[in-house]
Amino acid sequence: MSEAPPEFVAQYAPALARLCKRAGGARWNLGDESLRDAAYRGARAAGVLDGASVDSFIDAIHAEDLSLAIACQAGGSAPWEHFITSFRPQLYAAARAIAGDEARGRELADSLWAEMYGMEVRDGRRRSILSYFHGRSSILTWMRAVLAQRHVDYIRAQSRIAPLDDHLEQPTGTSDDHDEESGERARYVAMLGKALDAALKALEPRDRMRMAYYYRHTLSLKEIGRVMNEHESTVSRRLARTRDYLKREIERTLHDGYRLSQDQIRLCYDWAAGDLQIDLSRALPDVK
Amino acid sequence: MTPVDRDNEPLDTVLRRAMRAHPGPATPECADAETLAAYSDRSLAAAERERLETHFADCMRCQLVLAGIARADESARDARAASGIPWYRRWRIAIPALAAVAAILVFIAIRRPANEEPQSNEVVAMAKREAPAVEPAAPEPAAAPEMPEAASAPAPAALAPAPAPPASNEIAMNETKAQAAAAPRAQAMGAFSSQTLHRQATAPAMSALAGAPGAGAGAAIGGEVRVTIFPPDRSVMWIIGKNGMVQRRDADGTMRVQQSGVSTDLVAGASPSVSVCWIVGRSGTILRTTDGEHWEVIGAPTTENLTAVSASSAHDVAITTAGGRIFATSDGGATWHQQ
Ligand SMILES: [Zn+2]
Repeated sequence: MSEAPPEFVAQYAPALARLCKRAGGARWNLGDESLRDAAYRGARAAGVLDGASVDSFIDAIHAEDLSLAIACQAGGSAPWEHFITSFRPQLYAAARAIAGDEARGRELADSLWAEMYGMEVRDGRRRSILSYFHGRSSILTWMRAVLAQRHVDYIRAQSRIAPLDDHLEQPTGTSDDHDEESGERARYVAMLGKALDAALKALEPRDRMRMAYYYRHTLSLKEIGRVMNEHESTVSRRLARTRDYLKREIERTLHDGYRLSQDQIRLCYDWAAGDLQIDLSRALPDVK
Repeated sequence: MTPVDRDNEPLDTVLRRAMRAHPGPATPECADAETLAAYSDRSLAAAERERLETHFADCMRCQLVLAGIARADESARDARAASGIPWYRRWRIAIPALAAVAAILVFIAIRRPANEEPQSNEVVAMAKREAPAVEPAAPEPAAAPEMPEAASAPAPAALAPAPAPPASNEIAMNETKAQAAAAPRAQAMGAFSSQTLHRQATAPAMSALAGAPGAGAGAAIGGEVRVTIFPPDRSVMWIIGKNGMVQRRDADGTMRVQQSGVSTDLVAGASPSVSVCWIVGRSGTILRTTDGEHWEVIGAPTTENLTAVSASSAHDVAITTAGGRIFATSDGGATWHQQ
């Protein structure tokens, strides 16, 4: 039975017809109905059903990838063989790049293959993770996104098992003199943390994203350009500009707000940069 | 500003440290995989894009996924651009590909008759071992380090039932060709491939992280991260882990602690023979033993965290950094060359 309601099919008939044509489902003996159903599910998942943008949503669907995914879920060997030949090498390469490790990358990729094939059987049918793909992106980018999500979950699980950086945050036994100096250091670092926090919060979201990709995720300029849809040189220029702005803002707050001299401001930086006892990320707003 | 500049000033160190954070769980605001992929493919309408960016700017989890997509994409572009592929990369591609095609042939083989006749339990079980759960909270104890190599790295021919689909044969042929292309070096690096196949065998179900043999799922959560290393004949085993921990299990089953001489966390190892083993870890830590007993610290070409190592002898080794750089040496670490 068709999943897409008749009114959906009727209202968007021209866009759906274009989708079916682009999809080339005949190659996999795929009927138009399954494509229309998938478009409906995709629009529903994306929350565009109530809006005026359903036509453009349908027109933006990666039609050939969607028909391949549907055909694979249906269990045909021809689409699977096509899928394997077309995407397996990229999937393994992507998993390696994401995990940064050969063995871990292979585990990730093997696992996703199994999920795409559908190891879980319910009501006599295999449940494939491909059913979550509606053609809103290319299937290759979608696979990369799923791999990256799985890898993030893995990192989270690992950090629960072995918080490797914990020893940096352990307080050390100190003398009274040392305590006094530690207190001074902690105050300076806290002031810098607050000034930095305020400056970061004041940034435009895209500027904050760019900084995070550069400093937190250590992406290359090229990779940041890829995420942000910017040219490498633009990324470089904007990073430099944001960094200068942060520096100016931080120093303005430290000078005007906390009445610190230039020497004291320098001390703030040096202590914050060199003091491994203090976790600066905890001085910053909660990062989800 | 260049990546070099960012290492030069205290502000850059402060920014790096201030932005350090662990990813949290997914929140209701987090985008699903397809939306993140569509964002990366620039398939979203401007309004949705802007709405998402407000979330991405402060969400470590979504950032990590987008960063992963970008890394994968850029590395694919770099690979396409590369004119020649060095031997170790060919090896890295060929061996996993063989195992992968074996797994996929199983999928096809069991999928095709799925609607017509009962499946072979044996084949399904095999495929399941190829398909570990990602979440280490539920590792498969049965797939712990002792799993025989043949279980997860069988020859494709042994898996493909007759008559195999023609295209599958073609895939298998292509893989064989790919391996043949890597053969000259692979022969010289015999232990390399053995090690890979072994790692293949221990990789599923997070077995390398699940602790010593026999450790249950609970021990994996509460316990330390540990990695096991075997030489090709599997007669002995090393277990490595946090704070420079190295243990050796002898052929008679005796476990002994060995002095690694370092206190950094050790994360990966490769053993081309019973007496030779290489270990890498955080902060550019590289260790080697040439008698199976005593460990020496080898001068590293980087202080970056190391994530993987492949070795064919006491002299020939390639290491991978967390940032994906690869360094190789053929003189036991006296000189390194970035690949
Ligand atoms: Zn998020």
